[in-house]
Amino acid sequence: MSEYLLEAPNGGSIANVAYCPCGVTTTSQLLYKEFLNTMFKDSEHCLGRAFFAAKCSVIAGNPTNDTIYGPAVLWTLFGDPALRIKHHVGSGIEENLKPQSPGCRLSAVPNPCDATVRLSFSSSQQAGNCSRVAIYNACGRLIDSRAVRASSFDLRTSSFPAGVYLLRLQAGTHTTTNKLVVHHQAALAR
Amino acid sequence: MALVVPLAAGYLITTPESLQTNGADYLVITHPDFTSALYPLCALRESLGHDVKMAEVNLIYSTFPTGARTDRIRAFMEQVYAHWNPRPEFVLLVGDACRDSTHDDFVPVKLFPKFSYDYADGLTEHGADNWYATLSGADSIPDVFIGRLPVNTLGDAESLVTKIVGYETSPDTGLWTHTTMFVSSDDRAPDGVELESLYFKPNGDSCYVVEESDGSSAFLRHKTVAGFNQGVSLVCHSAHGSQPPSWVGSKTLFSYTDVDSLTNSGALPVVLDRG
Repeated sequence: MSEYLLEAPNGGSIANVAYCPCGVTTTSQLLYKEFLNTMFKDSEHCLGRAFFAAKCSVIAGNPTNDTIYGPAVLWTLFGDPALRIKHHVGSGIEENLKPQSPGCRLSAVPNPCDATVRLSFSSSQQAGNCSRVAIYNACGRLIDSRAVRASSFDLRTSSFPAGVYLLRLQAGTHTTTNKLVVHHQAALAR
Repeated sequence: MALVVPLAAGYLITTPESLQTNGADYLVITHPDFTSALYPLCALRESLGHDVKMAEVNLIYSTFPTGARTDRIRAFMEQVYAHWNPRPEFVLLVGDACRDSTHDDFVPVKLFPKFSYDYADGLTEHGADNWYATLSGADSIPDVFIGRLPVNTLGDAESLVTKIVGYETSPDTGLWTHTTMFVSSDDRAPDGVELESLYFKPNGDSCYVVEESDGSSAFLRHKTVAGFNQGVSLVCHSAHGSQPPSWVGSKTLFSYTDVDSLTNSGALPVVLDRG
């Protein structure tokens, strides 16, 4: 279908994101939500960046379940990855997205950070549920992942290259994400 | 905006040495049949601030002569990722891939044994451009943003490039940039409802919904065509794919034969296609 829509002479589509050859329902919804989350919450209109943020998040978040990460690997972009998507994003979306996981909270202080950041968590789930925090870089690569055994811990970021990172907390059935910006004062001083 | 393409734009790489050492943040890998169609797209990307280079697969095959054609393209990508400065952030493959003899295999795709889940029709392998983009580490996470224009003729390439350039250079106005279409089979309709409530309604978007329960196949196909033609900027397909190409539940919601009825040339959507 992708080729027919792309090559339609009088209309059709400007780009298609599709499976090659076919997908799985659970993964589809995950990919759609990550794609739209990147596009709406981060105001990312670059098709390639939104597409790959979704792929990276789903692949990195499900490394041992090929029913989930397999279809994400197969998710293929038929179109120009540098295309700027023409979809208006207004200001009302941010507030709506904030309570997507009311059952858990994740904060990072200070943010931006330099050598260390304190990550603090709270969850409505019963103690003893498995909680884990994962840190991804801007390309979606998993940088660190660790079990959460306290309400907070200090993460050393001195070895992290300066940039934007994604923090993802999973507490029982709840997940929440937060952005972390790392910049190094020493580098700035130079 | 008219794009003037210099005759000696210098986008096309013509020597093996320039494949080995170069720099671009937007790289086109194309079959030579389509090269001439791509200059307006290269000029557009350059006008938007990209460093653009274009490489033809025949030069890649002769410069990296070991293995299958997919391996040679992969070897080129590894060279690019390791030694080009800047190295590409965006990679565009131009040319369709075909694993049988029904079409030409212009830019091949790597085939892998299937994952553990069941594919429709008992397929035992899959192809993924993702392989060309996983250049760092031993994971499946792509390191560059890769896409493909699956064209089979020079005319297809020219038409698609004209679409992209027109899309990017026209004003961002019109209700269509605030409108999303959902096409859902009955069993997938809740997925569309969730996306609508989470993203589109709060954004103030108009949502055009085609659900299997709306009517007969003929009605659904007509409604989907009407949705495209009224103008939407995103299409979220939450039904199933089928052969010949169509979006289906227990009824047909849209078929490849309906594409000829589309007249939305001024309002082209990005389609999230589940099928």
